[in-house]
Amino acid sequence: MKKLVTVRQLILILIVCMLTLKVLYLPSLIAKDIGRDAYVFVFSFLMFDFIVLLLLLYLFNKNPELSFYEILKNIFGTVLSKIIMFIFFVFFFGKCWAVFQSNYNYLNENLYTSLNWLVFSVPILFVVLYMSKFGVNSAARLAEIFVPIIIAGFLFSLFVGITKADFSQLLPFMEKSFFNQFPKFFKYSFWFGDYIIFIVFFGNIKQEKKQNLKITLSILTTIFLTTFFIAVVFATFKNNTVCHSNAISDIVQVLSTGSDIGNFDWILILIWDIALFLFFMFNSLGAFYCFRQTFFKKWQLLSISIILFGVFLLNVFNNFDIHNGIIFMQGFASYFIIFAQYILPVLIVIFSFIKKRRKNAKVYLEK
Amino acid sequence: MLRYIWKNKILLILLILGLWLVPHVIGLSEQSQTESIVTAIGIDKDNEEFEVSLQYIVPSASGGTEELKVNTQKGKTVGEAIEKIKLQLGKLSGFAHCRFLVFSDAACEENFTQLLDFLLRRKTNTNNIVLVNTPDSSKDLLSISTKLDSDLYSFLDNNSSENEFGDFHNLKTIGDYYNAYFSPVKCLLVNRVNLKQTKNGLKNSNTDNGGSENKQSSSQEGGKEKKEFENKGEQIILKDNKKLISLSSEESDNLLWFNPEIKRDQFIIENYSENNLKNVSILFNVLNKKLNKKAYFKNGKPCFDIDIRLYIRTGEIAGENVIQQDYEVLQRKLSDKLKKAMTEVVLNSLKNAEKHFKENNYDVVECFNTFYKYKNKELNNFLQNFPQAKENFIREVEFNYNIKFIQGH
Repeated sequence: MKKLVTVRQLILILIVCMLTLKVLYLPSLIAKDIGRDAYVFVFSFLMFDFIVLLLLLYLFNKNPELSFYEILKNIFGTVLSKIIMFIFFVFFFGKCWAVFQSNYNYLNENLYTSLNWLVFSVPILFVVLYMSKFGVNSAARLAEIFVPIIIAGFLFSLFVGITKADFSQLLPFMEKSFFNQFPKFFKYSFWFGDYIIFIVFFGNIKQEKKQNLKITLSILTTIFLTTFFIAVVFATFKNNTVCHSNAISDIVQVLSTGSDIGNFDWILILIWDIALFLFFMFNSLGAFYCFRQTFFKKWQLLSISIILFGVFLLNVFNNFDIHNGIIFMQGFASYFIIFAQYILPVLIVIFSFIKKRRKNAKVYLEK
Repeated sequence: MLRYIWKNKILLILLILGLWLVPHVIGLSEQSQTESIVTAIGIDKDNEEFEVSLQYIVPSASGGTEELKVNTQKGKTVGEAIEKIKLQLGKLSGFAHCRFLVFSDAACEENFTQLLDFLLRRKTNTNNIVLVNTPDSSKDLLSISTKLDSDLYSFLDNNSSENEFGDFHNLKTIGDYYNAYFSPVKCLLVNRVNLKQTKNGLKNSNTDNGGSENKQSSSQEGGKEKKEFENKGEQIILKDNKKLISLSSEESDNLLWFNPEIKRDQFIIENYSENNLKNVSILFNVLNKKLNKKAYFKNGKPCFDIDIRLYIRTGEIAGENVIQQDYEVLQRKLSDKLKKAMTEVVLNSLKNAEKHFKENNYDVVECFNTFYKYKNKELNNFLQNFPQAKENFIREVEFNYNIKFIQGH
């Protein structure tokens, strides 16, 4: 199989997927439930993500030539593999649905307007449809161009926040017990588990020296910076964090108290719109990848068209209302998300161990 | 050409998209025709009805400073009054560029949050809107500030913590109010500005034209009363969602010593005598201030230490027989006697402020918050033993002050 994606591209894709949604609505939502200790819980969940990512990395290293579906087929057989791929399809499709309406609301809030659904949707869906023709390679190259700008924007926002933050607002530390608060945090599972996009690139990554170290260090740095960002947001806006549903650009607004037009937040608004688009595109590709394995591999354009039209249609049924989306994601969907992003990958790795041991035992008996 | 477009499918789709979207954009009406850009809101209360004034920009095509107009309506809620203004103007009200909200005393006597609720529920982020209180009519205050470079707007521009020359009283925003509201002490200081009534026209009669006819018309105009913006440095305290008390300029000044964000200030020593100086008044400029607060419990009693380090420079010596040499002497070294006199002045201000906030039970000096943040366990133990102390915590605290003066240049 032709190797398409470099490790550097993979890292950038993982970073943009892990960052994008966590710096918009998430800080305000968790501040409402958990308050000043939100960053501790974000860190805990990101570490869960990191552990599961390490397990997936292990699975990838053992079978660098095989796609994720092929690995599943070796472990579970065709039927179970298709079921698992369908679960991941629903997972990616859900992310696409949510991020599409998130992007719509994001633009509406920042442009102080109410965009026509079609005017917003058709160009974006068309571009993603067009991108899908060229596969993951062109998407990865697109990430290579834009993600450095996105990271620069994130760091700018973070450093502005640091200069204005009052870190004493984070005290007293963990006034309420961690384990009492922890169950509350499960409903935010949708905002995590973005590393699952990694499965799309299984078998398509050019092997490099020290690739595991590079991926591990990059993801750990992203985790620490994201956690720090959440802490900075609360330290800047204090009890008022709940009102700042667009943290990445709101944090820059503290720079000047005068004119709103002259603020740097417009640059960040534009940059983060690119991030949202990339996030949507990668998750669409993820959904497409899983859809193909589950249903049919032919008629690729038709497959992605069905997915994108489905995303649009579901959003129309939902009136493009982010609040409904959030309520849904925090309700029943959160159990499914936890299963798909934490339990299922762990089970896959465990079964791969069992399969391997059985295989070894069989070889030993045959000898 | 057509064949080229037909062959290039992407170009074709882009053309179709363009043909579909461009007419849609061209057909949109100008935003200034559908939305009025609100620059300030004034809220008064009269007989259980809110009188809301919106000050909005009238766009001028020829450039220069835009005119500001005020429209006022009454309603049972702020939202209802704004809805009436919207109907009257035939435009939506856009609050994205709203700079400040003026509210009268009557409007904040019962439930201050109900003034803000409408704004808080806008899509636009309204947390940066500055709060200003006035003992007069907020409608009148907006009516006299019909230019973006008027006195009121200059006051707002210069009086922010971002401006190193204007740090007299920090401006407080809606965001600050909600921060205070959800904090344990629920207290916030808000600036208060007044309207000064002056008789205009008399001056004009003397200076403009000397003719008798003109004099007569001017004197008729001279009878007209003109209102002007005035900032005496007064403040009010909002506590538990309503106005608690008004502070005079002197009481506000005393509280400034406790505010770490306000770095510059002045103080005067009167009737000071030393060497050649006899009964002089010395004005000191505070160039910088460093404030450290320390909360601790001593024998079960909460103690709050405040260390103030003031970087000062002699600003003026007023009195008889003051010569340049004396000025230079004071610039180089401060005598112990002078230091003692200075400490006394600052300490008196601090103690007066302490007495005032203990008497009126308001905590704008971050006392409870400091205990809450740094001595949380001890505070909880203390409040368990003395549950009645929670509401009046600041009255239980022993304040200790340590003031140091450093000569600055």
